Amino acid sequence: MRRILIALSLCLLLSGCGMKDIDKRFYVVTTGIDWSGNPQKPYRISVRLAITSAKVESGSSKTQIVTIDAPSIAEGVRHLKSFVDKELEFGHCRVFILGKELLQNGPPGSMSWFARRRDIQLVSYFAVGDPDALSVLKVQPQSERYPGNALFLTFGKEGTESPYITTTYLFDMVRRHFEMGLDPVLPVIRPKEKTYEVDRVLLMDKKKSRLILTPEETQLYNMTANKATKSEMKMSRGADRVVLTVNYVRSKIDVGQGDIPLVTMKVKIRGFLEESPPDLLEKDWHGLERELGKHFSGQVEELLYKIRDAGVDPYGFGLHYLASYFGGKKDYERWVEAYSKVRFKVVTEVKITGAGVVR
Amino acid sequence: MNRYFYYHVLYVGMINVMLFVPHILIKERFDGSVAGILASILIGTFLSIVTIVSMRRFPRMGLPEILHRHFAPYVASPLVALAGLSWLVGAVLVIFSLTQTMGAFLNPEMNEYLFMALMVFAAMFAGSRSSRTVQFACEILVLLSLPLVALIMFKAVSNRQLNWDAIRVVAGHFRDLPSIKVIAAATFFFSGYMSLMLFNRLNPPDFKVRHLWTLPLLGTLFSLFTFFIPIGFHGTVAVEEYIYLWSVTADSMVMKFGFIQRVFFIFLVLYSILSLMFAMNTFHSAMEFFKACSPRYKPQPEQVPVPKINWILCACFGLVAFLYGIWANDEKNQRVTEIWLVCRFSLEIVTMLVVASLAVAAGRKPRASSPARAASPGE
Amino acid sequence: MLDEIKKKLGAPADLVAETMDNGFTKMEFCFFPSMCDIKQVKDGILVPFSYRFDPDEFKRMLKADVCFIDAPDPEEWVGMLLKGCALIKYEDRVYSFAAIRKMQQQPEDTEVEASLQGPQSAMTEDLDMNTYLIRLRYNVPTLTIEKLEKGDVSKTRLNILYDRDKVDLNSLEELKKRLDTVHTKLLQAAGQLGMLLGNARFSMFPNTIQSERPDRVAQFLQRGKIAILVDGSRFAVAMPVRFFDFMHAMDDDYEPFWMGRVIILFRYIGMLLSMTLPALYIAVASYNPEFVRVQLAFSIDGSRAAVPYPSFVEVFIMLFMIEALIEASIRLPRFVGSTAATVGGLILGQAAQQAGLVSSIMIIVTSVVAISNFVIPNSSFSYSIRAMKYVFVVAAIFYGMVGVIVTMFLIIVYLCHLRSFGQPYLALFLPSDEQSQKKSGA
Repeated sequence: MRRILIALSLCLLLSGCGMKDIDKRFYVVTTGIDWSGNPQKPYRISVRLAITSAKVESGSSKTQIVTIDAPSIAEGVRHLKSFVDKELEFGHCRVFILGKELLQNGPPGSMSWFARRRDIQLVSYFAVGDPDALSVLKVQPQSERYPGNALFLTFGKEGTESPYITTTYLFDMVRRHFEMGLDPVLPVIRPKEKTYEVDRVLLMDKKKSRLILTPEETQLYNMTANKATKSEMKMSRGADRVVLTVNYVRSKIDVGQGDIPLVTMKVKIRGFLEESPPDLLEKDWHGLERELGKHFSGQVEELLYKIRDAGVDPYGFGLHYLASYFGGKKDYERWVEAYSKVRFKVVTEVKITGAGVVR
Repeated sequence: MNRYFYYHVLYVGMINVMLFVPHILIKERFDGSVAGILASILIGTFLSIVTIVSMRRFPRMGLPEILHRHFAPYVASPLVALAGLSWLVGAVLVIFSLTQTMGAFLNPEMNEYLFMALMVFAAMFAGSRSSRTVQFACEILVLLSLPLVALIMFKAVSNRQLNWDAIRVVAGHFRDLPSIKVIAAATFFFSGYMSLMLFNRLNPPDFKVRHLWTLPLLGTLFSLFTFFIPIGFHGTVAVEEYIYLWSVTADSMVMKFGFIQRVFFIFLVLYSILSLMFAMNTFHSAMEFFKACSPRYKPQPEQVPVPKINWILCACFGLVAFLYGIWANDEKNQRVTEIWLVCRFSLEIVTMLVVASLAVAAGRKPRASSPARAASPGE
Repeated sequence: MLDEIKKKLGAPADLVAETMDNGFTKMEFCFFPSMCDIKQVKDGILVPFSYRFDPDEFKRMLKADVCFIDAPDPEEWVGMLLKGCALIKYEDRVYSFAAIRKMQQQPEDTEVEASLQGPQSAMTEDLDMNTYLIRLRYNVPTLTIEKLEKGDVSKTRLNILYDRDKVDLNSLEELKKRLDTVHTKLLQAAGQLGMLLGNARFSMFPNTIQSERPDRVAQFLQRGKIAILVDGSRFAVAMPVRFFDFMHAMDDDYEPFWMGRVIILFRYIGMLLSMTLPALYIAVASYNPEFVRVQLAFSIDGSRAAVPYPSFVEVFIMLFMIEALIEASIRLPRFVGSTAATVGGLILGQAAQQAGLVSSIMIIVTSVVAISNFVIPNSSFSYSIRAMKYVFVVAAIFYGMVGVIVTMFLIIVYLCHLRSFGQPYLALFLPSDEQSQKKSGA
């Protein structure tokens, strides 16, 4: 008994460090980083802080936004701590938004801050704010129950599952930033009154942003690269419009050898017709499938050439090339040279399972 | 009894993460790691199976008893002490990296030494128990952690973010010659059988490790998994950037519907259990080996209450761990770990040679004498 | 004889000591009417001696009837009287007549270990009745019963029961060694004996198991355990025990197999929750809020907003309240008990949270702890679990989540380290292993 008492009192003497109650912490739910234009303090760091309350109902989420300009992210965050009354916590910060301008001005040198902080989750989402990150932070979505939850649900695929939304995790961005033959992709968030528009992606090379895809292209990209189901294929057929809802997509990439490599992409799509002129399907089921496939292949090929011309490789053709031929550094150099001349061939196999619940 | 042997194989197969083995392998992923892993599968299988088969000649005897029976005390005692020391260093290293990892990710603001004190105390208490207790505890703990292992494995393999191309690229570099460091690190996946050196005391006289074919299978599974999954998640280049490689890899997985969202925390829970288990086993083995340095010592697998000498020895080990914690930092620790891995590898070879030659020698002698003598140390 | 007895007992008022004379001969006769069954005394002694008296027959009865025992030693007389025997002195020989009054004539209903569809009869506070109940259920020739008396003052009778084919001899030996060391003045309950036998001062978990169910005791005997019946207690003490015995209810064996397994699984989950939940709350609220998913963390944050002190104070307040409530509802008479629960429940549930003294999440934690503690079928084990949770709480206060994990590890090792009468407390055994163990142990 005496021994236990001694041990306990020792613990009491030594402890007390590290304990901080949850209500003494301020949770950052979204962090935004912008280009301030000032060369001395190039980074404008803004954090959206959660103000929690016992009552949870739609629209009850309250947040506070704090902003600072700093020469580096780490310094800025440290300085920000003096602006608030509680300990800043990044443990639950799941969304990081980089300003569009920031990416155009080259990659932030202190970007490794994200990967280095032990409390930042490697599964946090990265996105681009258009026109800047701060304006995205300022949006207060009406449906939000928990602070920051709207974006968590958007990217986490727990709530909406849209073919226009690409999810990029921090570890994925780091991987793509360093990897040979695979380049970063970031979704673009545009604020619109009380909600967000997330329907474009931004393609980067290793240094800066190169290309922003339109919503249409974004969907194509998601279908071919991320197997995004719940997407659609559409085609005009004379005056009518044919829309196929896709519930299964698989794509297979094959990179050929040769001086001008040929990249073959085989896409398999299954779905049912959601909108079509009456009796179209019964007339020529296979013909329609072929037609849809051909149309889709054309669209994707167009997209691939556009991406190639921008000099980026979000699909990882280069990596796949290396993997196929167990290549090393030299093969990679050869690939980089050849990439601007690469030819693409897309073969799409469409299978229509029916026309929904009507004939 | 057989299953107790495999529990050791299982947790040693997984503990490598705390001993920088993945880090060492990843550093040389383009220069011979793959070949090293392939070679280590052969070497590890050979070492373990030869040792296990030789141990059949020495029923109910641990390494100290075998050595004392065949060598004079001045040869045997230092050897036993050396074996004990190698266990002890393993324990110290794991305790240190456990403190570092948990300190960094779970309690960043806490005093490091206070934290270490907790870990050292846990290892001390657990290690000083009797051999049988340690066996039982191993069983319960392995069974408790298996679901977590299965969950993490499942989450990793079924993850869509896992880039198989990156894995293929690295796997393509199998032609380069591996360094000795890589082989030493990679054979650690197979080291679980070394527990037999002590726990053979508990086995019944007619004990035979069955299902030996699972050993290479398990070792291969662990090594491929530990090596390739991080590459799949972080690509061929960025993997190098991380120190706590597997912690970071586990952090790259999400449980969409979990009460705990980050697989990372499951991983931390799992590895604190595994590390404590490893510390318990190594402390215990080291303690038993040091006690057995004296030729007169009679091993007693079941001792209640715990004798004082256990506490004293374990307290010394704890002190060593603590002092090491004060001296070491991440970088020094990594270097010491590398040295230890190589030493352990060579010790394993020596052990195998000694045990195998003694077994052959014992086999030549008339059979009648050996069982009678073999029965004595267990009583 | 009478004078001697009166001298030793100090002539208590409730002693009947007379010399009876039926006209032919005399007989000295004494007994405590309060301790004897009067009807037996009347049928066995008074009737044959008085109006049906026949000297030859009476003598033959004294010699042949098993109820009459020769008691030549004056030293024994007082002890016999105090146990409820009647003493007679006839023709210069002293006989004792066992007419002990029995409180119980039939088995009672189960109270502590209720069962839905299993046997409903429980043991009584009478040793012979209990022995009968167990013999009835475990009716084999190998069942051995040893008699013993313990307690300097109470002289409580004990029966040690075991199946001599199945019992583990080491455990039996250890038990006998321990029984020799047991010295107490009053031995009144089986639990007391269990505590004296198991090294209770240094053990955080019970070393013996008590049961009021004869079917359970029979099952224990069949598994090679030893049971001790204590006179005056409706519980049997059984040993050696294993961890799993405490989590086992008899209903598990009477219900469909898979249902039983599922219920057992729930029981283990309940035990874990009841031990660790308050500690986890502290760990999450004060050290590692990032452990749980973000929405849950914000809920905890929001509900704690009004609470002015750190989480562990909150936990201690609530745990004290719930322990007090449980204690009160056990000790209070049944009529008042429900009032206590209502008042306590209302205060704990609503007012404390509205006043901002505790968070609403903490109230849920508290009730989960209390309820899941009740699913543990054995009450002495559930006491242990109740105490264990404070160990976790202390660890969580100092070390957060890591403290909880390390404590869990230590407790598992500690449980594996425990031995109950030489048998491992927590270890998984397969039957083949047990045999090989025995072989190697022999």
